[in-house]
Amino acid sequence: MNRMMTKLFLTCALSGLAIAQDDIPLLRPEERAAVDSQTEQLNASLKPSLATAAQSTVRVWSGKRRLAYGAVIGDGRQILTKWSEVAEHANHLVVDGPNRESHDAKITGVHEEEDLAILSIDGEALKPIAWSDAKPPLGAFVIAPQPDGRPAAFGVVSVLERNLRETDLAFLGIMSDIEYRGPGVRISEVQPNTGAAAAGLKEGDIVLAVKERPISGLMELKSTLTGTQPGETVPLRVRANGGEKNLNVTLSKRPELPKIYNPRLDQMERMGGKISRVRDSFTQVVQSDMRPEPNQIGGPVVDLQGRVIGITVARADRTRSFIMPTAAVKNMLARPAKDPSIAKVLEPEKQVALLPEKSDAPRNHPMAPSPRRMREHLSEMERLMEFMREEMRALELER
Amino acid sequence: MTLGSIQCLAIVSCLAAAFGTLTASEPDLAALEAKVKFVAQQTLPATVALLSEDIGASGSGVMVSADGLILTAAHVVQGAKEMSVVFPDGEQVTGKVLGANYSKDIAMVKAKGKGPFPYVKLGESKPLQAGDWLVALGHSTGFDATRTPPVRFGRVISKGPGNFLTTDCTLIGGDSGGPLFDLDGKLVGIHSSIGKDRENNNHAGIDGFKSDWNSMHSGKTWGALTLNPFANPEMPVLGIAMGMRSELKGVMVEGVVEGSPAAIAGMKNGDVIVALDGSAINDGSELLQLLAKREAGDEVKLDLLRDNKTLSTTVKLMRRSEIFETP
Repeated sequence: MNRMMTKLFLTCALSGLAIAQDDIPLLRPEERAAVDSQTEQLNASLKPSLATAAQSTVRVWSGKRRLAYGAVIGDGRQILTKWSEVAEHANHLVVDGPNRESHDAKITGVHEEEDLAILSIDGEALKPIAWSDAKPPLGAFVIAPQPDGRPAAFGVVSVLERNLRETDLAFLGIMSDIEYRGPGVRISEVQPNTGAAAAGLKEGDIVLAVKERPISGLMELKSTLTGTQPGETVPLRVRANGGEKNLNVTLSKRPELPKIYNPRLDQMERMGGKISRVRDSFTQVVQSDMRPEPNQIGGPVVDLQGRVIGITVARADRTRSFIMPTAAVKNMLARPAKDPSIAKVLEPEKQVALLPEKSDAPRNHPMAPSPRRMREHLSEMERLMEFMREEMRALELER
Repeated sequence: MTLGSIQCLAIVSCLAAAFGTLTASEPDLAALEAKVKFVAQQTLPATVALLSEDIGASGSGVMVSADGLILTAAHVVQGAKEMSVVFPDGEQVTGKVLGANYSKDIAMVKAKGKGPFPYVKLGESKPLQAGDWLVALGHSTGFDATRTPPVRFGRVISKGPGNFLTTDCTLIGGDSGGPLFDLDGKLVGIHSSIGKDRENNNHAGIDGFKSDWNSMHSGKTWGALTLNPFANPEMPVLGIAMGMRSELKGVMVEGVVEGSPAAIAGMKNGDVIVALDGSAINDGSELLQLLAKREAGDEVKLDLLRDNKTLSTTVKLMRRSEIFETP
């Protein structure tokens, strides 16, 4: 139950960021003009970095509807694109590239876990991507080209490569006692059939160190385990029965846990534009703050030097999009692809609604003061407070 | 030798100036990127998550001194006396909530323990303008042991209301209280709220902390959280009653509050305000919008029509709460 509680803490936290006006408050025409001309300059300056990769970037269409971007691979007649966006249109796919000529396309292979499809196109071969193994550091610029050489999205590396799939994470098998304020983590429950149970850990024991790193609290315990793999054996220092002892625990895979639907987070994630249908559980992605549209996903991403460092795989939410790095793409392409006739779109699991579902859509607060608007504003704040109280009640129930 | 090196420096700076002019229309992206990378690397260790088991909150904050002073948003600490301070590597220490000004959504927390802790330096928020590049960090959606706090890059979109500023560094729940930096890695703001538009991410300016520093540090908590800038006790005002709209462009003064900035500046009933710091004013809402972008203590130049003559006067703005009762 402890994990639930941690999730709920997060939930409450998310009420933390207040939702302000729809429009930017007090934006002056001269400010808008300054920002717009800066955007124009920036886009122009980014063009040289995009020139080469744009020649290997295509758009994938179903009739007049653009579904996704794609990256030209192989001999120039294969396209890598986003599976969940093209899956329903398998018989009507058309691809156009930098020269605008159309190519009929059909899906020839699917990598379900990565949510990527491989298309084969008719007609003249296009220019395949020249991949680069460069790994841009934190804060480095990343740019996704449009086929015409203009930027589709621009951002920075927000988080270095990581695995988003929770069931791949190493799992100790203990629940922490949140009343305990450290140092160390006091165990409130040991889960059966886990490494912790096998090593003889008991409720009330205090984990003092993992892999010789002293543990200040639950977050440090989690961070220390982040660097380990399921199956790995790690040394623990534990205080139990008034004494201290060292023992080894073999980590397991984290079990699948029900996701908690958080209406407020869901709302915030969708504030600021459309997001991809399949957007998490990737096993190797770099996070960036680029903001491509969901129908611009699947194309190459370059660094400032114009090197193709990966492809976009999802616009995840307001703040995140995910890039699959070149090395991961190459590894995937070396594996056999699945027959599209039996491949499935791995939709995110239906989330369990444990929290009150309530429309909490942000409203536009008019800027000029008036008694009516003040009242509206007050009622908005009251609704927010009520929502937080409900969340707190849910938390109490969990306890 | 000494002379030689001085000359060298002089030549370098001349070249730099010439180069700067030539490339003014085209931003030097490589230099810009180098700065963003530098800022991300320098400031990440000081970007903490603030958790409270008591109030069930998870936000962000940033260390500003080696002995553990943390700046954050007031709504992150609301209701908490102590919070767990989590560093990006997972290390946890206990933090004591000091004080807060809710009207500015700013607060201070002090980490217990000896340190020295990683910290960032303070910059200035007042001189920022639309288009100035910025870097934002924060523990989006709460502390996550599988990643460091995400780095975001953007620029100032709009100044105001008051001490707040709006940027296109995209934020989400959990980022609240997290830091906003200029390209030198100096702290210029703390994340506060978002609007529906992805360009609508609001931050409390660092200069708003400076004027309330000692009060917050000594444990004082005051003010009120509000999303309506005009209802904010910090809203700067002139202290006039605005006349009804007429065909005339401008705002007619129909009352001057005793001791108010307008009174001190000698404004009179019947004066028509036609411009503020050179921006023409057509009606009352425009005047309010321009005022909301300023802060109490700022001096603004007003152009007035009095007896069919134009005159200019300088007015030092006051806080709304200093002049009017809070509704």
